[in-house]
Amino acid sequence: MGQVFEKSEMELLVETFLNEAEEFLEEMEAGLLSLEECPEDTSVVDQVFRAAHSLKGSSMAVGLNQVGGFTHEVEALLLKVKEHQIDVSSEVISLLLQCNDHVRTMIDELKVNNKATFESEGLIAELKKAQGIKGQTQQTATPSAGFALFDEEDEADTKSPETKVEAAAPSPTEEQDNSNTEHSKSNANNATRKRPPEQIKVSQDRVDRLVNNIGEMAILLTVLEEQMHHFAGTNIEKTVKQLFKISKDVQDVSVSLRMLPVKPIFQKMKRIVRDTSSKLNKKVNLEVIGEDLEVDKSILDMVGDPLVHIIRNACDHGVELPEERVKVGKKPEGKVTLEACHESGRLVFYITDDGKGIDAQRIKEKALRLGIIQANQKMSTQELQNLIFHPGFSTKEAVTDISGRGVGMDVVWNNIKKMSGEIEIKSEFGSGSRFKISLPQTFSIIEGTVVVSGGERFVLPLADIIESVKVKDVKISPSSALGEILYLRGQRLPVYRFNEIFLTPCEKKDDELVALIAQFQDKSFAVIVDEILSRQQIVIKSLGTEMQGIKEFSGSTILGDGKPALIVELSNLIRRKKKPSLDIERISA
Amino acid sequence: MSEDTGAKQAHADANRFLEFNLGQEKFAIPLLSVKEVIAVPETTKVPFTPEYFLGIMNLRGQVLSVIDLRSRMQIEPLQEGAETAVIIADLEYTHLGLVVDSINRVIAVDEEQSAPPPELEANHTTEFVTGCYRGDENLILFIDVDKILDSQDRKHIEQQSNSAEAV
Repeated sequence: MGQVFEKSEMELLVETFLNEAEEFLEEMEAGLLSLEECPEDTSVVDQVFRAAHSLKGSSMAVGLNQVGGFTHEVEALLLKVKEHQIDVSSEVISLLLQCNDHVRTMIDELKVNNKATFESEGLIAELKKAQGIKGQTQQTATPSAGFALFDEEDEADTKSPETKVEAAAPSPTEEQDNSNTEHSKSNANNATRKRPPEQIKVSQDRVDRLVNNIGEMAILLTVLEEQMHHFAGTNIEKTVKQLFKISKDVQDVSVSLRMLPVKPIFQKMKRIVRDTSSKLNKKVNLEVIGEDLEVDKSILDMVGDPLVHIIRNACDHGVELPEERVKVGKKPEGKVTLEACHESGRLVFYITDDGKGIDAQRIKEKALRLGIIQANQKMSTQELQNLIFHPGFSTKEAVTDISGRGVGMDVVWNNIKKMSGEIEIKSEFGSGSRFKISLPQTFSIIEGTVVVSGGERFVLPLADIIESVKVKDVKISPSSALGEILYLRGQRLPVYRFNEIFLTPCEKKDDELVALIAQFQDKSFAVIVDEILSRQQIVIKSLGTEMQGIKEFSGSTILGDGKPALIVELSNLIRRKKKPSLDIERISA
Repeated sequence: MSEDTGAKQAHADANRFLEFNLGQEKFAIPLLSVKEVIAVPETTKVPFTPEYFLGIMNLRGQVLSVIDLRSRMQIEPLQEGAETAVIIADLEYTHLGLVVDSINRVIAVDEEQSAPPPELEANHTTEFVTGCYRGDENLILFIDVDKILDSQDRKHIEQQSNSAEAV
């Protein structure tokens, strides 16, 4: 409460700058990476220079002289590049990328602590070296030299690239992108930068509030619709129907407000491929497809980590060293493709590499050694390959800096499960692997099954449930050592009764109950509930922070009658079940 | 009622408290931390939570936790009636619904009218009582709403919020 009012105007300006800086940094990074591919593309140099220039200008303007002073040095080097005094070598790009990271570190730190100080001398010295200036002779850009910097900047401004760019051949067929980080890779001529449509910056809070309210409106309308039979044939019915249509429209728009292109994440991946492969002395090209695809912001926030893991893995475990590749008749450069697309109503990411693929045999041996599978267990190649998502599994013998601690892939698996997503791998030994991540389009709405247990309703995400059977159609045998076991087509599944877990009375006889078969990490089990009410679209509402510690429920929703219901996180809930304990007293005790 | 009527509005707001009853006892919380007061809503029970945690409710599309302040304070509630109400409190990191027996009035409190709570043996479970009101023959305890939750829970909430901000 009242926080906003406690901030001085300057603090607000600084805050705005810190948020904007991210865009400049992204633009610079994007530019630098594409510059490496086509060093002669002057429009890209201009773009990078412009971003650095804006960054310097606005950081000085809000009094962040450390950032300003440092970016000034970066800009100075960029100017030399721009004026062709220095060649765009891989070293220069590396240095500039490093500087980009440094600025990002500063910005991130400043967001938390506005009085943070930074050590930039090392990089500044390198920047000067790259410019061909000996460290001592150059006067250092101290913060107090602020005005001097601005003067210089004005000089630079007169040679400003803007006019040049606008004059460049206007080719409207080029680049439909609305983002301003876009740059043309193909050649220098079509460097037209399409003016992005006017944007309004709105805080996520406000958007969320709007989306929330619209969701609530939709629920009320559902309630209204349920009662519509009282008014059949009347004017009220007509009006409500129209209202319904409009509400659907409004809902769609409100959902789209939270949609952002995946481009920034893909951009990050380019960088990761570059850094990872150069560290490993490999040459890997990343091709991205579908970077303009728009994705719900909350998904975007969560999908980054799994993608980083998989892409690093592709560079480290997948793509071979150039020598090895040549030996087996491949091009020395490896290729990793990252694609985003929509498939049957879901958001899908493909990560494909043309590396050595996954050796199912080696996985089997390792899994046996680690005791993950049994020697007599029959498994298909596909199943064996999926073992890489098993916690504690990593086939790379040595632990590397990049991947191979055996934590990567199961983190990926968990993250994706958290998003109610699926991941699968298809790999051909010798010729490459393809990961497919499929996610719901949005977190805010899922398909769910509403069940009743002990008089309360609960929602189970549909993605968790494989099938449902009536208890009277299957056999459940009690076992004092293992708890109850349900037999289903020759499978023996452990049974979890909601009533037992929630400690609620069950008024129904076993014959009337329903068993839902769920699967987690290739383990199936049965959960028993009183009844299934419906299968429906569930608008997810987050629970208050005071409830985040309760891992058994991932969120809540508001059902048609306006009452909230909890969304069950089955994999955590079943841990609540008391395990039969056969510990006995020691005879000698 | 009080002498600070001439004081600045902001100052006045900060000194105003909402007085309510839990059983026969009177309590007050700062008016600034009260978002609204509503009738007792339907709640959905949440398994694995303590008794005083009444469940979750739907406040115009937002799902909020509701705590029965009476059982939190271990006070025998009055009969559930028309006066029973839920205060929606605006805590630092969350919103909470607090069930109380009745809402009494808004009181303005001068500094000289409030006193620190009588010293008990070191007792962490009463740290949410910040003071008491002397301007009235009845004892009114001031409550720090942010401290109503268990200290471990609070720590957890803070961590959650911090990590959420870091993302």
